Amino acid sequence: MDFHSIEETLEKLKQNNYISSLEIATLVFLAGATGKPLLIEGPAGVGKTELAKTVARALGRELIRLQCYEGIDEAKAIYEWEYAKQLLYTQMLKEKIHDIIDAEDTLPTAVKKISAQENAFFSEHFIQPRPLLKAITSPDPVVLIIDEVDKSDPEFEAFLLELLSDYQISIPELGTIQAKHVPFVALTSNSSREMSDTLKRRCLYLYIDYPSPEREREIVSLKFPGIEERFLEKIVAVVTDIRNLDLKKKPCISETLDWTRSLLALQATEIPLDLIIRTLNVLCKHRSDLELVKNHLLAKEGLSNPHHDKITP
Amino acid sequence: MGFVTPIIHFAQICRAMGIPVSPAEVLDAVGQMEWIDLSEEKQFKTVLKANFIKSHNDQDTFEELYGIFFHRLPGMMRGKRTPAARENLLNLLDAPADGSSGREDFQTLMDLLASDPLSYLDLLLKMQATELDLPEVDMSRFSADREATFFPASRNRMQARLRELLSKNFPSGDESLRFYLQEYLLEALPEGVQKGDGEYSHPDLPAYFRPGAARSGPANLGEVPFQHLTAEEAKAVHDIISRLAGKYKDRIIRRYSRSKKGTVDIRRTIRKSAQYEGVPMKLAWRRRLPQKPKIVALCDVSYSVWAAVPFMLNILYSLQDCFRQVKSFVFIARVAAVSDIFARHETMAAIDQVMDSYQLQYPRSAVYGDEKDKYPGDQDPEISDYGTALAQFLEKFSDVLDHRTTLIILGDGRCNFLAPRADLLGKIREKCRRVIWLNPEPEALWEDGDSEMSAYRPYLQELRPCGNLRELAAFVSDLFSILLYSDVQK
Repeated sequence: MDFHSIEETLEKLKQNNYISSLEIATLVFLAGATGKPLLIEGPAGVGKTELAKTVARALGRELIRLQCYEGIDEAKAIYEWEYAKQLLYTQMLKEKIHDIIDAEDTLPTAVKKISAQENAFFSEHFIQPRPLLKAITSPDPVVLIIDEVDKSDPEFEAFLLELLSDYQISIPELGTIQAKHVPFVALTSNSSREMSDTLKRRCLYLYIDYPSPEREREIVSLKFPGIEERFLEKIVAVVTDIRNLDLKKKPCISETLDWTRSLLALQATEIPLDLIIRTLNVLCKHRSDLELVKNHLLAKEGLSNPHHDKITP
Repeated sequence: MGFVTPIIHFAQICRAMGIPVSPAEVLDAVGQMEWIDLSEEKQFKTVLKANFIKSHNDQDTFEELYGIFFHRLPGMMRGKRTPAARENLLNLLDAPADGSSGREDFQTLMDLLASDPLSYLDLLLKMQATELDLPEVDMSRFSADREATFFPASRNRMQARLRELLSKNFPSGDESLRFYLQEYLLEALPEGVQKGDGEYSHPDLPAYFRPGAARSGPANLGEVPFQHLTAEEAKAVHDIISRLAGKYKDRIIRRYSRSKKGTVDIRRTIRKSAQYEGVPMKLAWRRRLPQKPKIVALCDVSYSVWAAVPFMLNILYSLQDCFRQVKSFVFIARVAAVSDIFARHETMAAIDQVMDSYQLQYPRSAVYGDEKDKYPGDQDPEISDYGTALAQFLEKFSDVLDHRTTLIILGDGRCNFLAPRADLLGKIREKCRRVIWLNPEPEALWEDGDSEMSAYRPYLQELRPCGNLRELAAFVSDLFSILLYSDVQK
């Protein structure tokens, strides 16, 4: 199943609980239509991974996820030979091997005979596929998400290049494996490291920023159907206000959702100042941020006027 | 396919503004146009953006350029050209793709655009730029960096160039192509330029594109001493620094990963042994990251030096991922620890705070060297006293030093004829791995007047001038060789 138009993409993402902007829908549609990978950047928690997951749900495809980290190598990401299985088989097949070379008198002819059987040991049977190989050999089209690709080493990017441009993987012993179906590939990055130009060149680039208050309201009301309009507005206003402060880690959508969940769990209908401060830990994940927000809220008392105290260098 | 040419032109303009757009990306964008509804401008823009802009930092520039190119520059948009020119172009582009003559013309046009970086449209934008004073940042000093060469040239020179371009013979010898170019140029040029009216300025262009205060003096930012930078230039320098930092970070990380082997990696050893019937013939080693160095920065912030401090701190903190730890102290006569401020705020905000506080009454704009606050020396209650500062640092903060720490001192070594107490620097030197001194003054002045550099010099592993961006960049480029490979001279 594929997306057929941008409008349909927008609608399908929404049906699967993902409120996207037109830009996001356009790029998701294009990535699907042209088979180009989608490089998604943005601050933590704005829904980069969620977007890829939603695409998988919307298309009804299997999701294959590769989590990158410092030191990840091809054996973890692409494939690995199952050496133990190979050894085991060699042992078990010893008799058989004897049979094959029994009739030969000289070593060279024996070697020739054996080498004719080589393929048995370097075959797909002994390959342990890792996410990338799995994604391209899968009989059904899949969604492949390469998560936090910026955490991987620069060398690892090079492994990705062949996959991302031609959807093929070369295994020296077997040759080149072509993708049965072009997977929908999404790469996410927190830009802790600038990706190389060669990698970027192969991708469509999408930057997801913190949502506008309207979009955030839409998202919250989608995840918490039946939430009271006034309550919702206030939640989003408080988060937007906090986001404008100079924080180490600004609250993102997932934190807004967590906070809403907490407030609902506390059966709050109003959000007085002391309740905000008591539940602030859900929104702020640094001690210094907590202090800063607390002071800011106390200084402001009311929650209506927007804040302009941010230091802009 | 009438959109192809504007896209190619737009790519050219993006390149001229320093956004690297490769031909492959242009092809991708053109290819994707068939999937979208071209009458919806938002979709068109999204496709261009997703293909041309691959870094968040460039997105604002893109928005700006897009607005100018497709909305404000007259004649750039499809449908605004003369019917003849448009037809001409359409014929060219719609020609069958089977290698007939029309295709060749198209190819020629592509080649022309690709081979001549100052092609006509680029030129066109520059003509606008003559009146508009775009930021002139010459980065050619930093070889590997992409260059943003956008020099406003004089109107006459531009016109001469334009004439030359129009009289040039095109490889194909096709007159219609030239006719088209001419036509297009005439269409696209603002009326004022067509008339040769020197006072032209487009009313719709954004404010910062308008003529600003021209600065006299050297045009190359890399060479301007820090204390002579204007506020805007200082911002440009900070931008360059963050870009440089990104580049060094990559290089340093690569260096870490290439370095020495550590313990045996059992898993990989066994896997390798499979080749030899389970006999571990070859050992696989686990990579060991070399210990990242710790950095302690001690900065003189008295009025003679303070202009250089923000830049030094910016680059150190931009690179802090590459260090185990960065701690910083500032002093005039008394030493204050400022690491906390950096831990709590973003680098630039922290620098502002540091410059604001610690008995410095300079306004925040002073960070950028605002003209009127340039010599706040009169308000300065303290004079720099290196002897006292070193004594205090040794007494109060020497616990931050250990055998992995590199101390970087930024100062001019001018003790105002007070005792330099170089022996204290010797003691500090014994507590840490090495001491590096950066002096913002030119080398010729180091032994002059109350400068005590000669007294301090024996205890320093490195002594470098650091008065402008070029010197700072050179230092940072060498920093990791110094940190990782040079040995202690005890």
